[in-house]
Formats: sequence, C-alpha cells, structure tokens
Amino acid sequence: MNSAGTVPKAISQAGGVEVVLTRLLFAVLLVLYSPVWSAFDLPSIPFPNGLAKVFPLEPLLGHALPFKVLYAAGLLGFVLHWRPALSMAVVALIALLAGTIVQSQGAIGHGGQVLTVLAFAQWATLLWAKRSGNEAPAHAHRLMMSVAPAIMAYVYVTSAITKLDTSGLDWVSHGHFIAVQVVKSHSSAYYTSLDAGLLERGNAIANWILAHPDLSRLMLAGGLFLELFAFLALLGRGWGLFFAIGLAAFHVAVGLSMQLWFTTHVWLLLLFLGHGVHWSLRALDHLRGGNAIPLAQP
Amino acid sequence: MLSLRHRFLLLLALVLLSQTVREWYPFSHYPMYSGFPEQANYVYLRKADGDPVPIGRALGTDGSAVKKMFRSHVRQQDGDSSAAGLALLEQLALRYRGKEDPRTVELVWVDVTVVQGALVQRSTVHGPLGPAQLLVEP
Repeated sequence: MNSAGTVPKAISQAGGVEVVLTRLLFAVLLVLYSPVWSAFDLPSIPFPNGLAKVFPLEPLLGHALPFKVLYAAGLLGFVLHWRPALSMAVVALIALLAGTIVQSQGAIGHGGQVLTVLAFAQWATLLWAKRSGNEAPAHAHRLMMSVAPAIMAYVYVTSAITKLDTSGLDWVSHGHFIAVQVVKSHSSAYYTSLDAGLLERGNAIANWILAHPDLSRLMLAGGLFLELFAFLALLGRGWGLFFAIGLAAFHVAVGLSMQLWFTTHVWLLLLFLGHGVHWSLRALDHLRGGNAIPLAQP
Repeated sequence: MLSLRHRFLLLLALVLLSQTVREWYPFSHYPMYSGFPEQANYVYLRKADGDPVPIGRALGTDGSAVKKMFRSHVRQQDGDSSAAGLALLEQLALRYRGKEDPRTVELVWVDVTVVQGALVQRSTVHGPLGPAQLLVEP
C-alpha cells in the first residue's frame, strides 16, 4: 500500500494483496520444505514407495541440477502468474518425484507429504480456472482456497481415524506411556546433533509425565478431539481459524515436549486451513480504520 | 469454486483413499504415534572408540530416519536383526560424510521402557561392517 492507503496497480492487477501474499507464501514453503534439493543426490532407491513401485526412478538419481533449475523456474512462473498452470505442473511433478525418492529410502516421514498434495491441488485449480475461461489470479485463488482447507483437514481426520483404529480410546488412557516416546525422541534428537542438553531435558519431561499422568491424558484428548473434528474447519473462515490455531498449538506443544517439529504443517495450517493471510489483512485493515485493503471474496 | 458439500466429499474421498493405500507418497494414513506401548526404541551410531556419531552431519538425515531404515531392513531380512544391522550400515556407508571409515561404525539399538515407575534403557549393538563386508568402497 502507498501512503494514501491504496494498493499499487501492479498488485491490484495480480489479484490484490491477499492473492499475491498467499501465492508468495505458498511458494516460499515449497522452496523451504521441498525434498527436491536433496532427493536426486541420493545414491539408491532401496525400498520403493508410491510411484517408485511402478516405475524405476533410479535413472533420475545423480541428475539433480536440471530438476532443481526446472523446479525453481516453475515456482518463479507460479509466483509471477506466468503460464501458471504449466509452471505449477512442473513444480508438482518434480515434487512428486523427489518426495517419492526420499520416501523410498526405508524411512517414511510424515512432515511434508501434504505439501506435494497441495502443489497438485494448486495445479488442478489453475487448470480448472484455465478451462473455465477465467484465468484471473483472484478467481484461481478462490478455487484454491475452497479446495486447500479440505486437503489440510483430511490430514488430521485421517490421522485421528488411524489412532482410533490402532488403539481405540487407549490412545488417551495409555497416554502417560508417551513418557518413553519422549525419552526416545529426545535421545534420537541428541544422537542427530549431539546437543548435550537434549538428553537431560528429555528425561526431565518424561519423569514429569510419569508423575502427572492425568495431565498428559487431558492434553492428548484435546489433540485427538481437534484432529477428529478438523472437518468442521470447512464450515467457514472462522471455524478454519479456530482449528488451524488449535492444531498449530498442538504441533508446537508436541515439538517442545518431544522434539518433533512439524513446521511445514504449522505454516500450511495457518495459510490454508486458517486463511491466515485473509485474517491478518483484515486485522491490519481494521487497525487502519477502513477499507484500504480489498480482500478476496469467500 | 467448490460448494460446501463438494468440500466435504473431497475430504471424505481423501480420507478413504489414504486409509486404503496407507503409505503411497504423497498419501499417508499418518500412523505415527497411533499407539502408546510401554516400550519405545531408538538407534544411534558410534565410532570404534565408543563416541557417538553426529547423524545429522555424517549422513544428512536424523536418528529417527535411521531407525525407520533399520526396521525396513529387519522386515526385508525376515526379522533377522543382525543381518538387518549390517545391511543398514552398508546402505549408510554409501552416503557417509563422517571423517572415520564407515566400516568401523557400529549401530546401537536402544529399548526404553518403564519398570515400576522408572525409565530403563537396554542396548543391543550391531556391526561394525568390517573390511570384507562393504560392497561398495566409500
């Protein structure tokens, strides 16, 4: 915004502040948390997962540079809204290949899958906008913001279902045994970095949990409730914000107590489930006392 | 734009898909910490002199990933943890960036459990590979 409180023409033409910021933040997350930067340098695919079970991906290994360049170019095209559907197609496909290679090392991680699903959703919505004859950035943004919350909610609902399927309500009543998981995760973090304070900290937290089992059960019950009912976040931006903040807070609590940092999820929750850019701009606009920032329609 | 009904249908479809395929990147049924048994375990690497190897610096990954790799090898070796330990050390040796010879590095598996309200840890050592047991020279 300029001194008069109006939005520069270039940003208005790009769909407005909310659209541009959302696109930019998503691109930043796709840079920071993408497996693309390391995947193609891995030496082998010992335990094929996903696409690697169907197609041999070994020929791609050792050719990191072209994938990195294409991925970066695709992201740039997406941010600048230059051939956005094509640009995002490149990003999504390379993210899929890279993630598949990383997940085929025998160690499946759960911190970044949803980023790739969202990249495909972004591609699909851009394609949808193109096919419908309205490629305006604001239109594509509205499509994405109607699809992305369902994708974020799916992650948590399915996680809650898996917990109940595996353990039933024991997941809460046996919650104090999370103490051994705390020792495990802190020890694992220690042997990753050799940061000496981690072992002592892990033992202190685990012993506190064993001494206060009901409090740990209460916290876990709250987390399970938020996950299971995350589908309610689809009812509107207010519901979305409530669940995004609740689930992000749960992630932070788990990170502090167990050294398990789902940073990608926290940012994606705030961006896509909580409509964080919309609410931030609305708060900013409120503070400025008016209608200086045109916001995207729901 | 998707209607509310279609958003719920999309969510339902994704839940059903992920519960069916379980682990098929980028879909997952998110099984981590879906139960709290009385025992947990972790692994670490140590040098011949007994000092631990900083897994992050030496391998560009973390201890949790190394443990998952070990479990994948145990499954592949039909439950033979000794053979799995050696197979994992072989896999890790290919990407080892530490100063020491990766053939001298041992894998330590640690069980953590609660006995009469107190935390107890028990270790099992696998490896080292030895000069004849590395298929590809580092």
